[in-house]
Formats: sequence, structure tokens, C-alpha cells
Amino acid sequence: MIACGEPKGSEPAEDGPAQAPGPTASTPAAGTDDPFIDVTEQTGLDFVHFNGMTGRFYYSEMMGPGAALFDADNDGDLDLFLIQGSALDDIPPEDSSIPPAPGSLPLSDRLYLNVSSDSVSDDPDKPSFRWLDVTADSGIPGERDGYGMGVAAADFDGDGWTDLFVTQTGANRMLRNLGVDRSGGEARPKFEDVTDEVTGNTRWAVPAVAFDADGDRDLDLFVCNYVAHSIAIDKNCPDELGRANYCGPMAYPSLPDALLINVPGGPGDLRFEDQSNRSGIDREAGACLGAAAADFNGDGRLDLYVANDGSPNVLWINQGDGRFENQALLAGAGVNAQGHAEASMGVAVADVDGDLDEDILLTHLTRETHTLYVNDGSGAFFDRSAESGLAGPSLDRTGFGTAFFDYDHDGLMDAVVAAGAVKILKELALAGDPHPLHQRNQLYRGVGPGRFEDVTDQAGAAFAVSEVTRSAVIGDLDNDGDLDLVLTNNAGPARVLLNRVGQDRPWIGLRLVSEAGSDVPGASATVQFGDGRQVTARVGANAGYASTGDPRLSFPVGSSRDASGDITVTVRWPDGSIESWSPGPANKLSPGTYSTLTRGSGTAVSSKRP
Amino acid sequence: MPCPLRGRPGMRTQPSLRPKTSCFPIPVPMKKFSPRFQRSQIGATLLILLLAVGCGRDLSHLEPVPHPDLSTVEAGARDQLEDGKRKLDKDLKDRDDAVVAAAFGSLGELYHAYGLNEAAAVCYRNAMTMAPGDFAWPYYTGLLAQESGDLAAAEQAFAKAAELRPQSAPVRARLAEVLLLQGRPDDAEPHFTVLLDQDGFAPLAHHGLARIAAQRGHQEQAVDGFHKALELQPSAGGIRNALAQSLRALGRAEEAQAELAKKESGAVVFPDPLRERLDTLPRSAGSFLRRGNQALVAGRLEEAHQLFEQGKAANPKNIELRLNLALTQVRRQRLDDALLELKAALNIEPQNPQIHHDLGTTYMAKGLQAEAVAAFEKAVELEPDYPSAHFNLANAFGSSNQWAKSEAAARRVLELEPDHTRARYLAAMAQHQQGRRQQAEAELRRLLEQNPNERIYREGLASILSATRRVDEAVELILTGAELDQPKEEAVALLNAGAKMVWPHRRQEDAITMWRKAVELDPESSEALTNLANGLQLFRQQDEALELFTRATELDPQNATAWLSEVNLRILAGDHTTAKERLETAVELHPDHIGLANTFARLLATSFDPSVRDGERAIVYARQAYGQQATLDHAETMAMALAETGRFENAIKFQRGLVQQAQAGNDRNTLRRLVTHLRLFENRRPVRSKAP
Repeated sequence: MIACGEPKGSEPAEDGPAQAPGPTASTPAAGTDDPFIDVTEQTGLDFVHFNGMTGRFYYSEMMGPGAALFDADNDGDLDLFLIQGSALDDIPPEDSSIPPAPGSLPLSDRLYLNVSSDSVSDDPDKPSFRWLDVTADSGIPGERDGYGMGVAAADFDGDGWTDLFVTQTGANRMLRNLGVDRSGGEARPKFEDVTDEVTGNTRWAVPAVAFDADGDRDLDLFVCNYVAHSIAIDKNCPDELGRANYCGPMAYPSLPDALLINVPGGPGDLRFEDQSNRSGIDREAGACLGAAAADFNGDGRLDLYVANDGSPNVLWINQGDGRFENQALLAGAGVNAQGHAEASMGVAVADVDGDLDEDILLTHLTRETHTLYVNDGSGAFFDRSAESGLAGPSLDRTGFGTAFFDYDHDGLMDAVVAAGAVKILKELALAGDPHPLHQRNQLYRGVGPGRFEDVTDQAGAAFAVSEVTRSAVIGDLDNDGDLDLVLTNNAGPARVLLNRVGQDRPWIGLRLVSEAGSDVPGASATVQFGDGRQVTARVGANAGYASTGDPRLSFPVGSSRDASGDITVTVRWPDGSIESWSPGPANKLSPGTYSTLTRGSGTAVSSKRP
Repeated sequence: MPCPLRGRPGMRTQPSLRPKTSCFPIPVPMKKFSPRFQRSQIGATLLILLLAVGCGRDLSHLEPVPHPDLSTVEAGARDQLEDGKRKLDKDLKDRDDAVVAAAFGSLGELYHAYGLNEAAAVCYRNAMTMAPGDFAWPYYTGLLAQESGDLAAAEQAFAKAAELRPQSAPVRARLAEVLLLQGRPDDAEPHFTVLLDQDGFAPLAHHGLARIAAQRGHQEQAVDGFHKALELQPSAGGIRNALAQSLRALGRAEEAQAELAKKESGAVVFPDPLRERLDTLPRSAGSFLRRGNQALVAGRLEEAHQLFEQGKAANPKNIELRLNLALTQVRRQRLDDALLELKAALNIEPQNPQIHHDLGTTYMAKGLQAEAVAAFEKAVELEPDYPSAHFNLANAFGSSNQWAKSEAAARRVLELEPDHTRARYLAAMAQHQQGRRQQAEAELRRLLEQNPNERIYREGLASILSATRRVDEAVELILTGAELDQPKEEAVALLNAGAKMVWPHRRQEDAITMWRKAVELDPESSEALTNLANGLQLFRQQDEALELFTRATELDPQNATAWLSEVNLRILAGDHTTAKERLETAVELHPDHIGLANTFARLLATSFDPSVRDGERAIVYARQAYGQQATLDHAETMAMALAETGRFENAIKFQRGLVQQAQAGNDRNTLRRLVTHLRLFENRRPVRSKAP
């Protein structure tokens, strides 16, 4: 008789979620070689997103939130604005499936100032800054009206202070930065709500892009609208097991986007005109979740790439006369290589193959692959997803926010993808998980021009956490030249991941500003090093998901000859003018610092569009 | 060390089906378990142990299956999965490894079909262990791995499956796709080449090879391949995008645009019985709902209908199923069936506002405005913040000329959604209808200024201008609108609406101009030709009208209006022979069209030309028309057909009834005609049309 014994073979090792998610910010311990370390707790960031879920699977509850990294008080470092959710029906927040975290009430968006750490340490893992919550004194509404989605941070009124445009399921909000108030002894930024009929569009908007659509040197707004949804008409789409689940965008009518043109006025004057129809923007209705402004065809004007959830993406080519034309399909950037529209969520734009034009990365649903569209320089794209190494590892992930960044400063573009499902993950749900949408974020390292490898498993504890991440916002939080990350989680804590590897290589930083000293989204800088190598980057092209990232640009320098300062920077401004800078008394362009390049202060290369 | 080759001898002529770097150890490593599943395995492990003791077999080399907790799962799915587990428990006692393997595999398929992939993967691995020669289990393992994004594991598993069944084209197809997805076109190419000769796989093969050619920059070759794939599988319209990109790269932008303009998105499909089997396994309402929705979105209405019906049988209380079934019935033009579904849904959830709303839209489609109003009112009573219910209520009030109420409902929409421009338009039209034309005109002008391309705003404004005797302005507004940069269908619709608007104001020439412009804009539009022909016919330009109607039917044989108008013109002109020929074709194309049936019957019964007349056939068509719609016109035809066949008594009886009805009314002309025909029948003479 054959003996019955214990089943042989080892228990399967852990490869899935490392920990159950929850509305706390417990910090995963980092290994010594990890490229990022989670410093959420160390830096005092206590923000936890509340999504208002009640078991009724309201569509909007799993779509947010975004965040903005911007210098709210003009003190030279990045502050943090985080978007909060709210209750979606008459159930009090505390009775929700995942109640608000302690200290989260009242539910409002939060502004955290970046302040120096109390103690100085040589320990590279000890952050040099901490977050100070100044929401209460900032003029930011204490109780939110509407359900928060995203934010575009930019100086819309041209007064030198960065304002905030907040997107919501209700009326969007324009918060004007009035500058710093020192009346309480401490310098604190003050905002006022200046929402008007145009900016307060009531459609469900997710991202918004600040860019100069008409080349008149002020910032216009592209507002990305999602679907016509309200709690009253929310639908349920049960899964194969008959369990309640979220529906997809096809369950609701898609909405056209909006183009709000800044009406010229004096500094501090803030008024927009809705030119969605005149521009042609409202001719396409799609469930927009991602957008980026860049000059895709190299004609000197800012175009728009729009990522639609489940319908073809849109490439709005700026015609220069106030009109935009959708050329996505012919340009090869509307659908994937098989001709299928995918569930595009996040969009990132950068030159990934070193040919000085701008390529596009899109994130999609599980069982779809990330899409890398490589630009041939004329605004024609080729789907290089499979060849890039980005396709395979993305099949089991629902990607949301994504950004290109060279985190290790090796001169090759890397990428991060925030992940989290939009349909209940059945096995997690059946195992009793309270928020069964969580997945691990992904880190891709550049291994050649336009080629990547998935290094998530080698990226340590910070990338082992399984959460419902929506946005990955890039910024140099500690001003050490490398790029750190802020992750926003749905029904979970915002996280701060400090870069531990990039600062060891020489870099130069650039800030491209207007005459008023404001960052200029859409401006691009091309740096030519002494060895002839050129790199290019654009302000604001890497916005994450419904977010705004660091407006500054950081470039690895490379060889020692480069580091000696034999560098030329050419800046293309959104109004079409081009200037160049070489190291000089005003702008040393020294490695290891951020140099501010003010429009009009460089050597004019061209004052007109090419 | 090289892997030992165990494939068939013939394999040497085919590309290797193995991965480059490993000998794909089986079981293939798959996703591992989360802590919760590790805990849940304890029970499963004990189960297997106990069963093994019971049967006296050592099954300890098998992995414990992490059966998920099914307590919260819909009964249909739970029962099916529990049955699968019970069958596994039973078959584990069997001494035959193949039986045990099949039991694990079958349960794996079920878990896989329900998306419970971790449990499915373990089942497949156990099935592979028990039946290492069965290709199905590594194949399914490969599918799972591919869906999970583990392409290396998928490649290994497909390679193993291919080794076990080298002739399997689906396996080779999957392997080729996985290789291509990994950015290895050189490895994928030979597999696609082999598939060129496999029955049903040539489209996929051409598509794959074309994609590889495009990646390599061989665009001419790619274009050729994409064309071949499309030729073999026209439904795979998604290929047109890649084709367009290759054409674009060759500088053939116009051809590329033409391909893209077709806006097709069908995927390349190939026969894959194992994968297809998975789709049909789940019997839960949720699974039928999901599949039904896919069919509905793809416009496969009959399939959607069947699937929703099956889902309803699985769970009669699933409201989403019933709502979507009703929507399918509406799209199938089965409005009464849709109403039945919605009423059944209301019996389950009487307070569900969406059901009332959908009931309202269905009543609207049936033209039952009062019922629609009641349904929408109930929906907004239950959910006062329901914008589309208020909007449809405004529409329904408008359709029944209750303009004050229509305006109020539209205003409520605007309270909820201030930028709801359609509601703003509706409010303006309601003002117009209530005589507040200045306000309406101002509102429409504002809307049109913001949205110059929006046709209905222009039409609305033109209708106000026409109603206030400013027809010149209306004409200019329409003609200007038609010049805007917009899809030609929009311009044609605008011109048609404009022509109809100005015609009653004795501006027939302007109307004809608009219809002519529409035909110029879209000479291939059967509808535009029909509209112009109708106008010309009324304007007594019969010859040109006849020519246009004929062309309209050639362009769109489904245009029954054009058929009817054409044959009527021919009959009036006395060309009954051609009319008869054309009617033969028309009724074949439109067997349910009452107008065509009645016209044919009348021609066959009354033609002056004896070679055209055919009384017996006339009765058939007359019965069809009268049976579907018992109108006076159809009844008269029936009497004429009866007389033509010599059944005068029946004809007289029929006609007397009609005369009595007409006497009750006030239409003297009709009465006179009916009496004249009655006298003919009484004199045993049929009705004859006059020769030209």
C-alpha cells in the first residue's frame, strides 16, 4: 500500500501583495540597495485619502486622487497639495467601508509646506525636510464641496505666485494664490476661491493641463472631462461571480473636454473664456483620464495628447489660429498596433530614445499592455510597446499615473507606473480584503534608447507595497538634484519615496521662468554638453495622473569635461521664441545647482515661430 | 546543456517550439499565493490527505488547491463551482491517473473561466502532474500565464503544449504572439510562417508577418500582408490601423486616411476550441450579463438577446440583466417585449428610478407620450436629482405639446447640470412654442454662437425665423450652416430640415435648392436623392424625380421609401410593366413593407394592362397589407382584388361595409369613389385604371 503523506513541495512563496492595505501610513523598511526609501512618516506626512466607499460601488469613488508639487510660498522648495475625497451619498463618512483616518476630518484638500528638518544628519536616509500642514490658515476650503479628483498648479494670473485649479465631480475650483502672509509671524501662503462661471464647469473632470494654447504668454487651461455620471444614475456591473462591481466608462456617456482661454488682463487679473467649440476641442467626446501638452510635430506650438478611457486617444495639433485638429489616427497614436482603443489612463511624455523629439507612454487596464508611441520627429508615431520591454510586465497591472524620469541619473530615461485595479480583484475580495483593488506599482529602468526593464522586484520595500495608487508625482523634494516621488493612494495614505541613488552623479538643474518669475509649463530646454551630447525635457510634460509635478528640470551631466561647464542650454518658449544660455555671471549653469533662466534674459535665437 | 527533443520527427522542418533559454520544467512556475490563500490552503491540504487515505493512494506530490470562499458568490456560480469541487473529491478516489488529471483540469477550467486564477493554476499544475502527456493543461497554463503578464512562463507552457501536440495551430499561434509581445520578432516569424498553411490561421499569420515586416521597416511587405489578412478575414477591421501606419510611412497618406475613415476595430480571430470552451463554461447570471454586454456593444443583437435570456434564467432577480435585455429588445425593434421586461423588473424593484426611466424611453420609442410622461415623472419622483430623467421628461412633454411643462423640466435639468446645452436648447424651443419667441431666439442665438456646428441649434433658430416670416434669414442661416466644416451627413441633414421648413412658406424653389445642395455634398446618399426627388415630384418635375428615385434604390436597396415613390411615379405614367418588375424586386427586399404590398396588390388588381394583372397574387398582397393594418385604403384594395378574381359577392360585401363607414364620416370624395366602385362590382365589373 502506498503511504499517504504530507503533500510535498514547499508552500508557495509570497509574490503577491506584501501587506494588506489600510488607511495608515506604516512605512516599509528599506534594504540598503533600494533605490527609493519611504520617508512618509519621517517627514510627517499624515494625509490619508478618503474615498467614501459604502459597498455600493459608486463609479467615482475609485478614480482619485491627484496631487501637486509646487512652490506655494516661493521659498525655493517644493510644497505639496493633496486632493481629498468626500462622502458620495447620505452615509456619514465615519460609517463608510473604510472610514476617514484619524485626524482626516474635516475632509478637505491639504497643503503641506516643505520645511527644513529639525535636525541635521549625515545619514543619507534621513530626509532633510519635513511636511508642515498649513491648510487651516491657507484659505483652502475646510470642507470640500464636490468630490476631489485632480489639480493643475500654475501661475494663471501671472503675478508670480502659483495658483491651483482643482478638478472634481462637482464644479471645479480655481484657488488663486495671493502670496505669503506674514501676519502671524510665520510666512504662510494664502489662497482665495475665485471660481467663476467658466472655471466652475460642473462636469466630472479628472486632469487639467495648464499650457499656453495661443502663444500669448499667459496660461490657458485644458480641462479633461470624463463621463456624464452622477450618484443618481450610478450603475452596477456585477462580475461573473454575481458580486457587485464597478462599471466601466462605456456604461455612461463620454464627455467632450474643454479649452478655457485666459483672457488678457493685468497681473492678478484672472478670467477665462470657454473656447472649446471655436477651437474644435469639443468635437471629440471621450472619457478622458490623462493629458499632456507638448510640441509633438516640432512646429513650435504646444499640442495636446489626450488619453481616453476605452475610446481612441486624441492628438490635438495646434493650428496656430486658435483651432486644434485631431490627427491621432493618422499619426498612429490613436489606438494600439492592433487598431483597438484601450483603457488609457496615465500619460507621460519625454524623449526616451535620445532623438530630441517627444515620445508618449500610456498606461492601461489589466490584460492590455502599456503603450509606447515613439515619435519620428514629425509628429508621426510608431507603437514600440513590445520592443521597448514595457508591454509584457504590464499585462497583469492596471496602470494609472505614469512618469518618465532618470532616477539613477545614468542618462537613460526610466519610468514609474502607479497601479491599482478598477474592477474588484475577485480572489482578494473572496478572501475578505476591504479594498480589493490593490496592486504593486512598477519601476522600469532604462537599458538603452527607448528600451526598459522591469526592476520592480529589485526596487525594494517601497515598491513591494500593494496599494491602490493613482498618481506618481515626480519632484526633487530635497533639492539634491535627483528625482523623488510622491504617490497618492485611493483610500490610503499618500507616500513620499526619497531617491537614494541619483544624487551621487553630477547633474545640472534648470528653472524656466517668465518675466514675473513664474514657472512656464510647456517651455522646453535642450542641453548640449561639451561632448556634443544633447538632451531635452519639457516643463510639465510629466504630470502623473491628475497631478502636477516639479516644474524644474534636472539633467545628469555625465563626463568630467561636461561637468567643467562646457554647456549650452536652448530654451523654446511656448510663444515661439527661442533663447540660449551659456555659463555666465548671472547663470553659471553649474553642476549641482538649479539655475533660473528667465524669459528674455538669454541670447535670442529666434523671436518667432519656426 | 541542450534540451532533449521529444517532438515528432516532422518537427525538424518546423521552427523550434521551445523557449531559447530553458527546458520549461513542468510544473511551470506560476503566480504564488498571498498570505490569505496560504491560510485557506490548510483545509484543502487536509481534504486531499483524507481523500488519499480513503483511496489508499499517495497524492502527496500534488499541490493543495486554494479553494476560494464562495459564500458571497451568486448561487449559480457557487453551485457550479461546488459541483466541480465535489466531482474532484469523488474522482480523487479513482485509481486512474487520467481520471484524477481530468478532474483537476476540469475544475481548473471552471476556476479559470470565473477568473479565479490562483486556484486554476494549481489545478492545472496538478493535472499536468497526473497526466503529463495531455497538452490541454500546459496550454491552459500558458493562457493563464499570458493573462497574468508572465510571458516567460507563458512561453514555456505553450512550448510544452506544442511539444505534446506539434500539429496544434492554436498553440503555435499563442506562442508566436507571446514571442512578438516580448519584442522577439525573429523568434515569432517562423511560427507565423508555418501558420500560413494552417486552415483558419492564415489571417493571423499574414497579420503577424506584416507586423514583423512593419517593425523592420519593410513597409511594402507589411502593406501586402495586412491586405492579405483583411482579404481573408474582412471582419478584422482593426488591421486597417496598422495598414494605415505602413501606408503613411510609405508616403501614401490619402490611402492611409481612407483606411482609417472606415473606423473598423474588429480583431483577428482564429479557431481555438479550448479557449472558446472557457467562455461558455460559466453559467452565472453575472457571466451571461458580461458576455451579453460585449455582444450588445458589438452590435450582435441576437447573441446579446440569447445571452441575457440565459442570464435571466440563471437569476431572474438580476435587474441589470433585465434592463440590458430590454435595451436589446428596443434595438431589435421589439418594443413590446422590452416593455414586458421592464414591467417584470418593476415587479422586483418597484422603487428603482432607472427602470421607470427606461420604461419612459421605451414608451417614447413606441410613440406613447402620455405613458412616457408618467414613467419619467415617477423616475424623478423617486430620484429628484436625475438629470436624464428630467431631460427625457422635457422631451416627452414637448412631443405631446405640453410646452410649459417641457420648459419646467428642462429648467430642472439646468439646475442640476448648468452646462447641459441640450436642455438649454429644449427650454428655448419650449419658449418658442409658447409664443415667447424673442427669448427663445436670443437663447438659440447664444447657443449657436458658442456652438456654430451644432445642427439642432441652427435648425431651431431657423424654425423661429420661418415662423416669424423671416424666411430669407432662415434660408441664409441654413445655407451658411451647410458651408461649415463638418461631417457631410450633418450638412445634408441640416439642408433637408431647412427645405422642409421653408416649403410650406411657398419657397419651393429654395427648398429644391437646398435639396440639390445636399445631393451635391453627398451624391452617394440615397436619402438625399430621395428628398430631392420628393421635392421635384411635388414640383411636378416627374422625369427627374423618377431618375433620382431609381438611383436612390440602386445606392441603397433598403430605401423602401424610394422604391415606393419610384413605382408610384411609374404607375402614374402608365408604365405598368416596369412598375410590376420593380415591385417584384421591392417586395422581395422588403417583405414586411405594407405600402409596397398594398401598391403591388392594387396594380395587380386594377392595371389597364392585362399582362400585368394577376388577381390571385393581388389577393395575397392585399391580405398582407390589410392584415397588418386595416385601413380604408387597404380595405379598398382588398375589394378590388376580390373583384378582379371574380369574387364579386365578397367584393360587394366588403365594399358596402366601407361605404357605410364613409357615410358616417364627412369625406364626400371618398364616399363618391367608394359608391362608384360598388356600382362596378354590382355590375360584375372590376376596377380598371385608366391607360395614359
